[in-house]
Amino acid sequence: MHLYYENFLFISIFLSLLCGILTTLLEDGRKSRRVTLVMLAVCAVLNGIVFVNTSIRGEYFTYAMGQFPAPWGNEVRSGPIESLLATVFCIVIGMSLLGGGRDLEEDILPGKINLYYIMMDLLTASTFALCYTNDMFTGYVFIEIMTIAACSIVMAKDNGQTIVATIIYLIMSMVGSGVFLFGVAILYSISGHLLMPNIMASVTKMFTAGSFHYPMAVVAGMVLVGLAIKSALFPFHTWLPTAHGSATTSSSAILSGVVLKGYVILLIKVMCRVFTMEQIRQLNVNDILFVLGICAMIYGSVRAVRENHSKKMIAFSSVAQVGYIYVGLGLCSTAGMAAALYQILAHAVTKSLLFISTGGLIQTAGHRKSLHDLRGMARRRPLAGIGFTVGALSMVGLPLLAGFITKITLGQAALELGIPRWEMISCLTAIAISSLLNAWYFIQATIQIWKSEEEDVQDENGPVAVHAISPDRSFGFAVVSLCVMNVVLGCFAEPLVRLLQHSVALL
Amino acid sequence: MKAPKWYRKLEQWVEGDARDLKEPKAHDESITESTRKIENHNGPSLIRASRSELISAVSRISAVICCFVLLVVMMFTVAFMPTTSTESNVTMNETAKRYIEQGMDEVGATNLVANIILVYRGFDTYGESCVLFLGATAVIMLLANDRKNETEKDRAAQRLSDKLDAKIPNQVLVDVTKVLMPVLLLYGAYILCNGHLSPGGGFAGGSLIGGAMILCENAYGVNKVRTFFGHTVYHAVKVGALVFYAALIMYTIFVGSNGLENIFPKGTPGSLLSAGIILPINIAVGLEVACTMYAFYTYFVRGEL
Repeated sequence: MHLYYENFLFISIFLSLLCGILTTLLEDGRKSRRVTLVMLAVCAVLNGIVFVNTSIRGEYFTYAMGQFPAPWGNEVRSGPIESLLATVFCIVIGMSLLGGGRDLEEDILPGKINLYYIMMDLLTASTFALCYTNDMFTGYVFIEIMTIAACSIVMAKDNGQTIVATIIYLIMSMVGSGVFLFGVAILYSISGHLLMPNIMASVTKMFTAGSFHYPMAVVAGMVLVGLAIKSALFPFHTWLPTAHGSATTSSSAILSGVVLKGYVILLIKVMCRVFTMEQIRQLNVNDILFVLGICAMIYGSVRAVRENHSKKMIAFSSVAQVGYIYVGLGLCSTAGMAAALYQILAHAVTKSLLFISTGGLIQTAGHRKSLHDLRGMARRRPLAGIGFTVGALSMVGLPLLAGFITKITLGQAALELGIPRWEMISCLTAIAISSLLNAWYFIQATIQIWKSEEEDVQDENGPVAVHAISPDRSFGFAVVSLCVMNVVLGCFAEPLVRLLQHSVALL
Repeated sequence: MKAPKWYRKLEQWVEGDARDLKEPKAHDESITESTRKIENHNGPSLIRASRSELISAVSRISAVICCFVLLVVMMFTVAFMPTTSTESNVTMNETAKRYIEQGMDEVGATNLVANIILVYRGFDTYGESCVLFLGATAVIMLLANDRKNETEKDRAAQRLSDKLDAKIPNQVLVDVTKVLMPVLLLYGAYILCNGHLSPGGGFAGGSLIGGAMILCENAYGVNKVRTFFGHTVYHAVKVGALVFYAALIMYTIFVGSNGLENIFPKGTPGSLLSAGIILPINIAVGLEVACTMYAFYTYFVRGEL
């Protein structure tokens, strides 16, 4: 008999799947929205209970998904980290839906809005499954679900730009899935297992025996490249700005905040549970991650500086922020892993806040999206302006906000390497350069949106027609709670970082 | 940033309206102030064009190189792989052993593959059925008729072609369908219900039934099919099948993981009513697959059920 809370894992996965399936019957958009939001709230509570219990006990548990125990059946597994991530993702998805509600009504035809919520429900289910899975193939199945759902929520807006973005996204994602599947297939035929602990046992055996070194490197490379394409690591990031920049507000927020991270979590599992960090270091995979992460941090920021389209600017900033995660992983130490996990949380909260408040500003400007057109809009809609400012300052790394803690934990993790190696120096330099560039474009954008409107006179196109926006309570709620989460993550980071560092051993 | 030309062409092709490439819409997002200024001078835009051509050539060549490198790496990997179907192969481990030696006694189906995909790894297969459901939903989202992708002209053309089809039926097709339809449906149902005894099961049987329905639609016209398989029936069957499937899987997971007793009888292996949940799951999967097949076809053809 399991403890009561251990059942919550499969209940939350199936609850979200069932909500998605039953939403098909609701033709009414409002009802399906309510169903989805209630489901998200329930799932957040369930996963929160799992988190509290596992972190108090300081241990993980496994749960057989079927009549027969693993390795014959499927299995899920949760420790504090997995359940914490699932809870935060749930909240972020909910807040993004709340914050972008009005844009959803405008962008998606009323007859199709319930389909959007179906996608959202299944996306949530796949997020949970990717957080909790202990089996490589279950991971692959839910990668597929996540890919289709993510492409559909980009497509939902249904104009030329989003369809092109979806095509590019779909092709890149399929390449990613395919490469990942090759990796899993090779791994299965040399290890004979799909369950992560069993693969680990035979991988360790092979490492000590020194056999299959080449296929092992290929497996590590393929799994890594597959997941890197999907999570938009630097040379594979090309689909991200078009997809995130053109989708509707909620979709952009969820794609940046949650979908990218789902794949990273699977990668972390592969690094910690299929291989060990020591083996990853032997295969030199972590160096590749590290170098690409550094490139992403700088390249993403440089492109964001040059970008004039507000949402694409934020999307390029996502490329840079994904780089931070990969640098943390590339350090291949407990501290680096904890920094990467913290960055996953911090970026989920911050980027969704930035996207929905930009969505609010864009609405006020009458759906014009260049930074130039957003000038002065924060004064018209102060809440959106405050949200943008908090998010931007967090990205820049102002103390007391979440982004600062990322940078400092990552820096500390690099310093922990001890002797000044090239990793340490390049990591610290990249953090410095990237922060500077972040400050450049984010502070510039923040100043732009707060500018007073008298300066609009020189505008050659004439002043931007400002649209009166009736108060939107759900938007306000979402912005305020994401701001609060951001501040809480920034101010009370000490215990959280310590918890993450302790729990990395449980991964 | 100005989008490259191929991108805008693709976008234009997808959008389907004749938007002039030279004159973007007033609030076209991709065209910003600065690039509009650049466009006024001919020089920089020419430079830009030649540069983007160079970039696209380079990226095309590097894509080909990447594919070849991948090919070589994969071929090389194959050389290092262990030999299959030998005693010493790692996949011949305790997992496979239990599937083969105890599968029939533990689960009850003589078709061992059905045991594995529907019971041992039932959660994965449920995920795959959700992929089908999701695929159908995505197709509906993209292709269902609405004011963005259908004009009055399209509707009139569709009506005309339907009318013509009804007036001049394709006699060969109708006659062949008359003969094939019952056979296909019967065979499909047989594969569904016999999935735990012989190769086949929900996915194979469901696609046969879906194919039969597509044939029927072609021979007799959509209105005939609508009399028994319209929008409501489609949703009812699809949702009913998936919810029923989910309920069975949830029950097995809960019962199995908490060590409670499973009330589904295993029966005698080899008889039709055996193997616990496999038979109902196969039927549910079959209905789901048939619905999805038919929905794919009909949404691609006319954008509605």
